[in-house]
Amino acid sequence: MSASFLRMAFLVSLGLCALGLLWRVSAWLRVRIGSDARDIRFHQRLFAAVGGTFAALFSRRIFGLVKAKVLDVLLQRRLFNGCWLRWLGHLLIVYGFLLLLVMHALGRLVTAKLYPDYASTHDPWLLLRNVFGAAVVLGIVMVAAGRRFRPTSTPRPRRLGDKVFAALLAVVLVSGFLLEATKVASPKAFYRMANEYIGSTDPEELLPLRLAWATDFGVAFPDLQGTPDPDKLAEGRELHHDACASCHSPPGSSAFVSYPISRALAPIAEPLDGVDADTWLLYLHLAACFLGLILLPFTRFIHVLADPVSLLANGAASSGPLSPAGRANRRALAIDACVDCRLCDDRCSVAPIARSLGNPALLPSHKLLATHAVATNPRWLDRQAGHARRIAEGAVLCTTCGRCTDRCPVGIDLADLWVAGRADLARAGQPSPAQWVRERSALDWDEALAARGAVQDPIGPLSSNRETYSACVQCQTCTNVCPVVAHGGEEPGPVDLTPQKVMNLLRLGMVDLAIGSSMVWDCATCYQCQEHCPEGIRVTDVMLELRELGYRRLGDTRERRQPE
Amino acid sequence: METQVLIIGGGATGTALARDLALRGVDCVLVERDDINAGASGRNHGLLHSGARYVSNDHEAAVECRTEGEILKRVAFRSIQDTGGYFVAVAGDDEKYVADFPGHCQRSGIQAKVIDVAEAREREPAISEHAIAVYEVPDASVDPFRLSLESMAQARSLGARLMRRTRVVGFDREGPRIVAVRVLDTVSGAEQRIHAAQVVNAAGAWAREVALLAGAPVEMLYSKGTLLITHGRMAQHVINRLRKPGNADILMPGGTVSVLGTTSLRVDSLEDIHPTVAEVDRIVDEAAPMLPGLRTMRFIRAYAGVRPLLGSPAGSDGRNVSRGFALYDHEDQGLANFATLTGGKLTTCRLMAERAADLVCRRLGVSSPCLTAIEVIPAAPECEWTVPGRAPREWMRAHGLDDPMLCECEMVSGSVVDLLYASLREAGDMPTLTDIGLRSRVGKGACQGAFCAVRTVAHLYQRGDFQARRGLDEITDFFRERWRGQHPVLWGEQLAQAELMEALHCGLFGEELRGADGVEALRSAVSGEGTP
Amino acid sequence: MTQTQTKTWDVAVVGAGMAGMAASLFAAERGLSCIQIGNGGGLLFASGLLDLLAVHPVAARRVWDNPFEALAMIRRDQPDHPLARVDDASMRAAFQSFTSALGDAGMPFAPLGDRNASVLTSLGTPKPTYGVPRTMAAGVDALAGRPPCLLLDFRGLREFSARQIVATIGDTWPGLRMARVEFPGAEATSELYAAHMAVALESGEFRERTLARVRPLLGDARVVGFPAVLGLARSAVVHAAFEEGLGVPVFEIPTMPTSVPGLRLNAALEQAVVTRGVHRMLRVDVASTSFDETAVLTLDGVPGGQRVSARTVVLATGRFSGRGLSAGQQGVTETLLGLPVQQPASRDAWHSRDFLDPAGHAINRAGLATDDDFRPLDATGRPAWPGLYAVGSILAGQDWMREKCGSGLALGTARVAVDRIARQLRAPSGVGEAG
Repeated sequence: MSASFLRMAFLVSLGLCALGLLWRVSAWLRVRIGSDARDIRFHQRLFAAVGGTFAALFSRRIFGLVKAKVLDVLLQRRLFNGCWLRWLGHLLIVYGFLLLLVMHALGRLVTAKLYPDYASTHDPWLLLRNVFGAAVVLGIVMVAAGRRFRPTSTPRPRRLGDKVFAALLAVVLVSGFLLEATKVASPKAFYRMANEYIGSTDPEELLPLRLAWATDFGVAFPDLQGTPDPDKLAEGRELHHDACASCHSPPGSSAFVSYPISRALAPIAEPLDGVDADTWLLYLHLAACFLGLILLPFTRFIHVLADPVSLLANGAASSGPLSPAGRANRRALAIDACVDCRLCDDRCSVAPIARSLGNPALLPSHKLLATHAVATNPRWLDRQAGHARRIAEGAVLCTTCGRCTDRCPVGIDLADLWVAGRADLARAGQPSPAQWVRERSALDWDEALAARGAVQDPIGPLSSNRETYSACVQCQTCTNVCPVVAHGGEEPGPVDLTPQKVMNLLRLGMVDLAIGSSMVWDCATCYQCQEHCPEGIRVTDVMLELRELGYRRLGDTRERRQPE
Repeated sequence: METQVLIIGGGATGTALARDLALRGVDCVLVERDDINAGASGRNHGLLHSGARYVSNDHEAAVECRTEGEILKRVAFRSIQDTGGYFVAVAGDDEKYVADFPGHCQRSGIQAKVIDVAEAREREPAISEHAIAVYEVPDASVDPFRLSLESMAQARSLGARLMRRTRVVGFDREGPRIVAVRVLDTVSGAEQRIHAAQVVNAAGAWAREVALLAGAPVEMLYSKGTLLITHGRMAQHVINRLRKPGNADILMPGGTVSVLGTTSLRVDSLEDIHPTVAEVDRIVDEAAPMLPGLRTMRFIRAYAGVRPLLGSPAGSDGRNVSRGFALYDHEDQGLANFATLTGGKLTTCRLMAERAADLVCRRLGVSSPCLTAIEVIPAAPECEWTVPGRAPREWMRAHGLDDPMLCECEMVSGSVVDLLYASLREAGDMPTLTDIGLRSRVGKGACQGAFCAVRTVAHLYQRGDFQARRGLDEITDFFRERWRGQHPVLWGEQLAQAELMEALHCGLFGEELRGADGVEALRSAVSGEGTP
Repeated sequence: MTQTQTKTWDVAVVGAGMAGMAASLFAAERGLSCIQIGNGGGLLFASGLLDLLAVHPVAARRVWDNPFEALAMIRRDQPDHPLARVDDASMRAAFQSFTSALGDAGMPFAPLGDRNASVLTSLGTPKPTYGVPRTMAAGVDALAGRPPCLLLDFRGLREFSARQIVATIGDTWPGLRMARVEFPGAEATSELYAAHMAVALESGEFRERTLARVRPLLGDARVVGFPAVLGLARSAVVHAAFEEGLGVPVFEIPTMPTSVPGLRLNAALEQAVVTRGVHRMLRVDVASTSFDETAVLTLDGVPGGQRVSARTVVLATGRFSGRGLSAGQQGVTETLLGLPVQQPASRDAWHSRDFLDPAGHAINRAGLATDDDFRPLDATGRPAWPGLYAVGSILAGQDWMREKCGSGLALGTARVAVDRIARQLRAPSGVGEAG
């Protein structure tokens, strides 16, 4: 194939890649996560993104930008803090690949401009190419091994696109080394070069050179066996020195990956030549690169763009809060920035509960997907059948402690995502218990439970035990010190029950009336009541127990009455 | 005042009779020396007997209970909770009795179903692990106050009149007829005469005194019974002891509490009847083998009532004397228009009233049939508040800004108090705090009025219902009344509660010092000097 | 190792009610190292008033104008009464010291003298007392002098009705008027709680809104009475602001527990004892004790079962509400150490049938018998342990609710006991046996 065809193929791939990137980047400005993102228009988000960037560049925040660039993007400090082994592997991949891209793939555009005597087969380029390639391979091996041996929770399914891209990457690397190895050993390549630079393809005439190349460069001439004639060899070497050495270094020391492969390929060099293996490998190599380029925006590997953006945006962030548009952008960006490294899962403070409840939806990695799905596809939750409640449970049990956010190597504000996600869950029909309890008054809940004919199952160790409240003397101290009664609950206006009334309802055996009350859910668990009670009654602990009971009993009742 | 029938006594019997007569179109006046259910009708278990308790020794009573129970469950369904009952025998009880029990029940037509002990204990964890046999029977619980109040409300709606705090002090006889009954309004002190064609003495334990006043004495025994109320409900079913009727055999579910009892003690006088420490301890001791939780249970009050019993003083405690009722027509004592209706138990009040009404109507020449077994007692708004749990629900449904909760223990709000107050005023009475307590749950909870009395009185002043020092008087009366049932159960947590009550009402408010020397003096001594 | 585990305290006070707080306070003032253990809470039921002694004999309902004269009478009539063991000087010093400490902690009292004061309660009854918080002092004068007076109440504060008070005593106080005020911000609620109101009034803006509603109602009133909601931690400031804002003296009327003055007293005493260096351990129970050279109290509710070692112990655990005494069906026991309890022979005799029986209820006089130094006696009639003292309402022979001597009992006995402790600790061992 001609160079122009290749160039066109490259440009087309690049163009498609660019379009893809554009589309993905636009998603960062389009996807709406959270209730505050609902009303923000596209142009507002565009302005926020662009304006924010310019503002950062032309202000003191540029220093933050630079710092973030250096520490977080280039040195990947956050990942280092997470796990230095993974950092090492990832660094090898990133820099190996990046340097291969710049030095080798864009050799003519970049390296040649910097170093006019650039020749890909010459040291240090040959060595470096092998080094970088080996680094990428080593990095991939490290990361893959790490994933294999790290104890993680339920893995999420890999998307097809990711698998394909990974395969393409492998093809690029393997084909690259094979290509080089083949070329090293290929007599046909030799003759091609000889023809171009010496003007001869006559084996006899080129014998000294051939000898030199067979010995020093590992070309597998089938007709050259045995020990070479030292005089001819010396002659060949001299010739090489004049004609070839400026572009070729001996691969034996430099191409520490390709050369051993070429040695292994040497016996079949001729048949390979026969099928023009090196040409096909080149095409394969290039095709994989171009396909990879096209596919890049549509896979997880968009993170190579999204992550630096995310980290830079963090670095350039001003001290004040983000505008709603900016926040919306960050959240959408987060979906693409996540690389599923699971460092957030490792740090999650409710992860042990996820195991004991058997509900992986509590884990940040799962929540991220669910947050995205709920925000972009309103019907997704309905299609989750019995899992909708577990997904909601996952959202609710998050303590927003922020440990996941601290740990995220790509700077995603996970805590903000979770809070935003809860609003979307509420809109999709799965608000938190504290919200759905308020859908009805305590009295209505009581009637709903009665209509269900709920059997008096055991309530809980505290609230069903008479001793818990038998010492109550009705002094109202609990109510007097309660800040929620003083200032009202979440809804405007006074609470529907006071702590004393809740305890009395228990004593009257009217638990069902208490568990649906807003007081139980508004309780700030400040423990003032329990600390002040002259009789030592565990008022707050009872409230918490009633919440647990309410979640189960009212939740069951509610689900039965959800319209299909 | 003129009427066709004068009924003396406002207990379950008297109010049932008023209802019966009113339904037959007969005009009647009911005079009651205190308030509705002031006697045994307001001091019982509240048990609607299936009859199983009497199967072994009083077959007639058992059958009567069964049939009347079925009728009441229909016509007075609002006052009745069909809780079902268990008869439980524990290790050491008479096994022969246990074995004979099902047969006796069958002979009386009472369904007694065997229940597996473990299953019974699962449903009722309060039952002792040493239970050896359990039978299920159709016992039910009845709210005697609601029953009487609703009966009387229906009677009044049909024209009957009620005079509370009105005591009979004499009869004017002319030959075989009583021409007038002299009654005394104990609040105002005014006396008046009521001219009635017929007089029925339904005064329960006081029937003997009344009959004596009329010159037609009846033989009666008094048997005192004491009951305890627990803090919180212990069981959903009625729990009976499966043995020959004895003390402390029954634990009733009473809405939000349980009622435990009873005892049977012969007494000679109706004065000064109150539960004693000894009785309380005996009840707990006797019932504990069946319900071990009673040993650590907090009791919030005790009360004692006197059962009127008929017949010769055979047994020493009166328990073995028949609980069947008696209707005397006094004709052998030379009276033509006087009748005494007494004895009986709560479950048979309607039947007693029917018999008396039949007699009275025959004498009057009225031929209307008895409708009380057919007509359902209608609801009346002022009669709804004795049932626990009603007030909290109503308050949560809707309460206005001027409708605060006054009794926190039982969650009774101002609007309920207002309703009751208004209904009593409308009947021509001066309502007291005690009256409101009787018709609602105010003061019946854990604090026994220590806090809610203060809030309720403040509320009544705000409404303009109370003037001058009435509030102080009412509080004093209310506590004196509540205290009658307090002191024998004051140990443990309830003693701590009572201590708090005294600290509040004596320590802070100094209610015991009203009228004391020196309280006034203290004021004038300080006057003029004062603190800077 | 924490301080509490290695140190031997001079005094361990068990109980955080009036007597326990007083004992801790007095011990700290004496320079004794003091640790206080207990469940806070009983103080919350206080009204804020400090009763020294007002009624004796109880059966005759004789109310005394001069509490010290009443004390003298008690010494003569009931030498076994705990108050009979408290001399006047100790009593005065106790009250001075106590109210001064409270004043430092933000709850000042009116000056103390030789007279009891009559305080109007929310029920309209006059209550005889001795120590009056300054926020209530103007009410004492008003009740005595009967000037034109405005009483205010707030809709929603259910237990307080100014109308009731006026109706009850208005016939002897012609110038007494009432008015109802809507508490700012409470328009949508049917129930108000005193503590919330008190906290709200600590904000200047809130006070202004309230004063704005009160001012038009003043009329010719020369003094204004409120329910006790004028501030919680800063009652002095709020009270002064109200007086300034209305231009006339203002007084608080004590309300039902749990009242704001009770909360104030609790908080002020906590502050007072802590600033004087008392080490406090709240919400813990004493699981077991052992007495030898020192007393060792093993605590429940502290991880590791912490032990406290002390040279003397003051038992101030209160009565039935305070759980210092426990009443079963068979009798009364003392809960911590099982000390013998002086009590009526049987439960029959515990209570009178009349709640307001002038003679009171015999069970109220049950409690611990002590020697003159307030050391509780064991079954043989001797002090149970040389360094063990008992103070406050747990003592036998008194009826604080009827005698109106709650604080006198707590403060007086605590004072004397701490004096004896100081003497005992300064003297070489052996002196402790003597009375």
